[in-house]
Amino acid sequence: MADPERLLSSDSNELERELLASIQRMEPPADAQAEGWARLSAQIATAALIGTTHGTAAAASAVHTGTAAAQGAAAASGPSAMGLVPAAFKLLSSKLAVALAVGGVAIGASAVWVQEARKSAVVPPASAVSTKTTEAVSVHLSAALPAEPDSAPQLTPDSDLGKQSPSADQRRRDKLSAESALLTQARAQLRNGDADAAQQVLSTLHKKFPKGMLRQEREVLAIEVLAAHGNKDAAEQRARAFIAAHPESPHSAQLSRFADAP
Amino acid sequence: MSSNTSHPEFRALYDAHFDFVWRSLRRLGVREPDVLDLAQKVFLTAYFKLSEFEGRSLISTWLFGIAQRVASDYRRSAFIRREVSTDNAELEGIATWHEDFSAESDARRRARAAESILNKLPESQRTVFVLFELEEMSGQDIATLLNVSVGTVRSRLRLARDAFRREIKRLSAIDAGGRKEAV
Repeated sequence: MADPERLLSSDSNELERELLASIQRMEPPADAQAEGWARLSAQIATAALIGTTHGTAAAASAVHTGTAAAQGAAAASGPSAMGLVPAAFKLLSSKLAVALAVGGVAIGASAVWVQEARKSAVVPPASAVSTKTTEAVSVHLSAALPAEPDSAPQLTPDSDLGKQSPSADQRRRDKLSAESALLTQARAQLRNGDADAAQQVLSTLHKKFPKGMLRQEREVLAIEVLAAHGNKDAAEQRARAFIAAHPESPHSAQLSRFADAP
Repeated sequence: MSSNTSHPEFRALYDAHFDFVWRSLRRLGVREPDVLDLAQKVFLTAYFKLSEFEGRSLISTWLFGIAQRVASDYRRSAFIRREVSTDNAELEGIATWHEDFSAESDARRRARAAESILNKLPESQRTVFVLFELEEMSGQDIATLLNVSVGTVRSRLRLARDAFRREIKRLSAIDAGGRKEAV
């Protein structure tokens, strides 16, 4: 049996067609695609970083793969770059999945970033690629992909991260999930027009996680809350300070709208 | 797409499908301020699952499947449910547009009205409606994507169309009533 005629191409009710056409015309804002990519790169890098706390070789592969990919060098760096990722991804804890998925926004535009992939087309073969967080946890990763998951190169964190026990890792992930959840909540409240409630959640966030991994996101949101309260001068001042402190953060481009305000 | 997909290739995939994913999410009920966040979630999932894509469907169809799951989770979340439930009131407001919405363009108003109507459809009907009427996919392709029979697709489409028309009639009636009161 053939499909029925589509409403848009039928000579049905004019209002029906008008309404359908109006949905069909919905288009993303002009800068959405570029902004989305900047954040997506950060997310991929975040996934890579979080992977470093997972003790399995497969997760290590994810870190390497993710980082190599984020560096735009997966093609040059070896076989099955993408092929290793799904298995590794499945091994990540459910909490981590929540952090990545539900907190996609929070983590997504996260405090973690990798030097922009597009800026360096070639990854230094044996030397380290630096992945950085606001806690100044810097994890050095070999760019080479392992031929077998078992032969994944050792990760050598230069903070005390590497000395943590698995339970410390777990605690760290739990903290990150909790931090991410609060940030997501504050963001939703701001979007819902409740800047006061968002401000309260941000205060809680600040008290509970003064040195949280998502401090950059907290600051970005705090600036947005200031602007929502009509406090343009303070928003501008903090946006400028942020950009000066983190010129390469994907958030800086986003915040320039406050800093450049007339 | 091979399992050796590199980052530049993924960037190309992103660039080629960003608009499509963005539009799909909007049509599936994601509110505008949230679309970019969810589009990222779709692409992040795609990034990690790309090697599972076996080329049995168009890559856009595969991405739509991911977008559909992401949008479904979004609509299920308690926070959004509360927001969506206000759409009824919003719809009444849109219907009496000549007064309150005089500053808003007709096109924008129509888009909002259409969105509110779609928001009232059950998710399963909405998905079929969007795929058939707006993405112009065939009944068979929709059935394959959603893993249901073509008969189910047709019946969901029929129900969705009935509801869509019903809401439009209601909207017109409220609008006509509003005009009388305004006179």
